[in-house]
Amino acid sequence: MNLDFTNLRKITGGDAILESELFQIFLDSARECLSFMRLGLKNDDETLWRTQAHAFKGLSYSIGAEELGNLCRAAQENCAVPVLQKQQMLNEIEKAFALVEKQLEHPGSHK
Amino acid sequence: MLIQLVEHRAREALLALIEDINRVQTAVWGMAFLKRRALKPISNDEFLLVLKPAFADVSEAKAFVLENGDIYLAWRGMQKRVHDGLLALVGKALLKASDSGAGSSIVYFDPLVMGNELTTLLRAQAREQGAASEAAAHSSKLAASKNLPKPNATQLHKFQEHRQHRGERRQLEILVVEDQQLLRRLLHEVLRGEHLVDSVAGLQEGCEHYLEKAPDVAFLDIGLADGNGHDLARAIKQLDPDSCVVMVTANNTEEDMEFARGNHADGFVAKPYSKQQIFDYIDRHVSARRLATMRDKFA
Repeated sequence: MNLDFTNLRKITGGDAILESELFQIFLDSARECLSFMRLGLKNDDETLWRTQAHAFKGLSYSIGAEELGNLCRAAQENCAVPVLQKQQMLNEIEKAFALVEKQLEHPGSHK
Repeated sequence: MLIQLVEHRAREALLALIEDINRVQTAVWGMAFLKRRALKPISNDEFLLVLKPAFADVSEAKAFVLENGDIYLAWRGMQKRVHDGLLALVGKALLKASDSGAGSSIVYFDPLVMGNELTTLLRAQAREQGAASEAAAHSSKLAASKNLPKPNATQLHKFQEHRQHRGERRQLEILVVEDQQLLRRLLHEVLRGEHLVDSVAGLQEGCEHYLEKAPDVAFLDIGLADGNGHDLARAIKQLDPDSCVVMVTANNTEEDMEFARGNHADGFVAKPYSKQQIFDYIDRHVSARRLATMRDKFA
C-alpha cells in the first residue's frame, strides 16, 4: 500500500508534529468510519454504508492513501449490492486500512 | 402531457413556482417569457392548442398570464428542445409578423442562471413591500433550506453591518464548513497565517457563523452530517450575492457540479485538493473585488 504524501507535505511544510497530529486524526476518523460501515452492513442500512464509505474516501485521498480511497469509492458507488458482496468489499477495505495504519503508526515509515 | 393555464392570482402562483424552483434546483425546469404585445389576438383555447406540440415531451407545463399581459411559460425537463419547439410553433402561429422577429419576442431563461434572473423578480417584489418585508423575505429565504436556522432581525442587522465594512478589513475572513475533523484541519492549515480562518463542523453552525461575521470567502463541504452544503450555498448567495462561495467535495459528480452552478457558487474543488487550487480561488475573489471597487470609484 503506497502512501503519497506529496500533497500533504505542501500543506504541512514538513512539520513533523503537525503531520503526526493529522495522521492520528485520520486513524481515529477512519476507525470510526469502519465501525459505522460494519454497522451499516449488519443492519442492511444502505444510507449509513454509503455515507460512511464517502467520508472514508475523502479522508483516504486527503492523507495520500489512493488505493484505500479507490476501495472506499467502489463501496460508496456499490451501496446497493447484496450483503455478501458488501462483506467482501469491507474485508478489502479493512485489509488496506491495516497496511495504511501500520505505515502511519510507525514513525519513520512515511518519509 | 399536461398544460395548466394559470390566470387567477397568476403572479402569486408564478412567484410560488420560482421559490420552489430555487429550492429544488433550477436545472430541471425551463422557463420562457412571451411579450403580450407581440402576440396576435387569440383565445386562450387557441393559445394552448398551439403550445401543446411544443410541450409534447414534458410531463408538466404551466402558462402564467399576468394582469399586465406578460406571459410566462414553465415546463419540467428537456429545456432546449422545448424552447426550440416554442420558437418554431409559437413564433410561427402567434407572433405578429410586424414584430422584429419571432425569436426576439420569446425570452428564454437559461436553467443554469435562472435562479438569479428569477430571484431578481422576487427581490423587486420584496422591495415594493418595503424594507421591513425585505428583511423578512431575506430571513425566510435563508431559512427556506432544510435544517437552516431562521435568522432574527438582530442577526440580519449585524450581518449587514459586517458586510458593509468588508472592504476595510486588513485580512480576508474565511469560513470553512466541513464535518470531517481531518479535512477541516487540513483546510485550516492551508489558509491560516495569511487569512483569518474560522472552521465549523455543521450546516447550522456555518449559517450562524456566516450571519455573525459576513466572511469574505466560504469553503463549504457538500455532504455534511446535519444537511447539504448546497442548501447553505444557495441561502448565502440569496442573502449575499457578492459573497464568494466555493464548494469542496469528494463527490466529483456532474450532478453536484450542476447544483453548484445552479446556486451560483464561485468554485468547485474536488478532494484531494492542492494548496494552489485553494489559493487560486482566493486570488480570483480578491481580483474581482478590486475591480468592483475601482468600478465603484469611477462610476
